[in-house]
Amino acid sequence: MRVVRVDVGRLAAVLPDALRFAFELAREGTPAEGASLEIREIPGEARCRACGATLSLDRPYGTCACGGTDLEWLAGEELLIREMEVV
Amino acid sequence: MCATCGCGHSHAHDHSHDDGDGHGDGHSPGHGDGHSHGHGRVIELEQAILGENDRLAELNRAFLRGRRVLALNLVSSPGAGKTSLLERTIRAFDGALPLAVLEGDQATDRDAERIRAAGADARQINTGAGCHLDADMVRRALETLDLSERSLLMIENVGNLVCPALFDLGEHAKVVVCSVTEGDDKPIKYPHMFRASRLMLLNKIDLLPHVDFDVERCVELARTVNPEIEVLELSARTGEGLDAWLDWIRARLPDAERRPGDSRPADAR
Repeated sequence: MRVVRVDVGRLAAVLPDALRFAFELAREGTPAEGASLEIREIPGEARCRACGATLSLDRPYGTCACGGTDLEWLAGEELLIREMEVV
Repeated sequence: MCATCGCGHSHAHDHSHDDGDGHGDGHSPGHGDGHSHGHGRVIELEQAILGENDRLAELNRAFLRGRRVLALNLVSSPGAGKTSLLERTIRAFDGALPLAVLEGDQATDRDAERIRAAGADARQINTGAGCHLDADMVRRALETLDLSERSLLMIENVGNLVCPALFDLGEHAKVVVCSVTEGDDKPIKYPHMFRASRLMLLNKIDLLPHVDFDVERCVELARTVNPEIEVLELSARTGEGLDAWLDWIRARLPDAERRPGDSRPADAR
C-alpha cells in the first residue's frame, strides 16, 4: 500500500494533523506500513433555513447574514477513506 | 490506475499533481515521492471511517426496538452528575419502570456498584485507554443483560464532551448533562456534543445562588449550536425539576402517546 486518501470535513470534529500523527503509528506492522496519508479537507457549507442563502462554515455553528442560526449542513461532515493506491 | 487520468499502467505523466485533483494539502517537496515514478493501482473505497461503528449501532438500535427498549446515551464532562442523576432517576421510578444501566468509565466498577445499590441492573464497561463508548462495546454488553420488554436502558458514557459525540451507540437520543458549576459557555466550546444531543439537562441548579452561571445565556448558546435542543433544569441532589425529566422519559417510552407538538417520531417504538 503506497497511499491512503481520505476526505475530512472541516465540521467532522477530526483534526487532520492528529489524524496524520495517528496514521504514522497505526500503519506500523500492517500492510499500510510506509504508506503516505493524503487528506483532502472539505470546507463546511450550510443553507439557512430562514432565508435559503448558503454560507460557509469553519466551525459547527454559525449565523447567516439574515440573522438565522437554524442551518442545514450541506458539506463538511465527511470522514471517509476515498481510495488507496497499492503497488 | 492513475487517479487523475484513469490509465492502467505507468507512463510519463504530463499532468501536475497539485491541480486540485484530490491529493490534498500539505504536500511538501519530497513528501510525495510516490508520484515521481509509475503509479500503483488505485482501489476506490468511499468507505466512511466510522462505517463499522454505524453498522453495529444500527444492529443495536434494531435489537432495542425489537424489545421495545428506550435507550438514552448520557454524555457530559466528568463530574457533571450523570451517576447521581441515574441514582435519583432509578429511585424515583422505584421499580415502576424496568431499568438497566450500562456504565462507561476508563477504570473501576464503582459506578456500576452505585447503580446496583440504587436498585437497577448494571454492567460496567471499562474502556481502558479509550475516551468514549463505541457501538461494539455496547453490543457486547447488551448480550450479557437480560432486558425486559418495554424498559429503559441508560447508557452512561465516559465523562468527555468531545469524542462520544461522534459515536452512535444505537440509542434513541443523546442527553447531555451540563452542570451549573461549569462555565455557561460550554455549548459553544464543545459544539459537536450539544449539536448531537436532543436534550440538555442543566444539573445542580440548587447551587445557582452560589455560582456565576447564567442559565439564559447557556440555553441561548445551546440553541445557537442546536436550534432544536430541548432544555430541562434540575438538581439530582435535591430532586427539584426531576418530575419534568421523568415525564420526558415517559413520553418517549415505546407505548407512550406522542405529545402534541412533538414532531419527532417515537422511534424507539
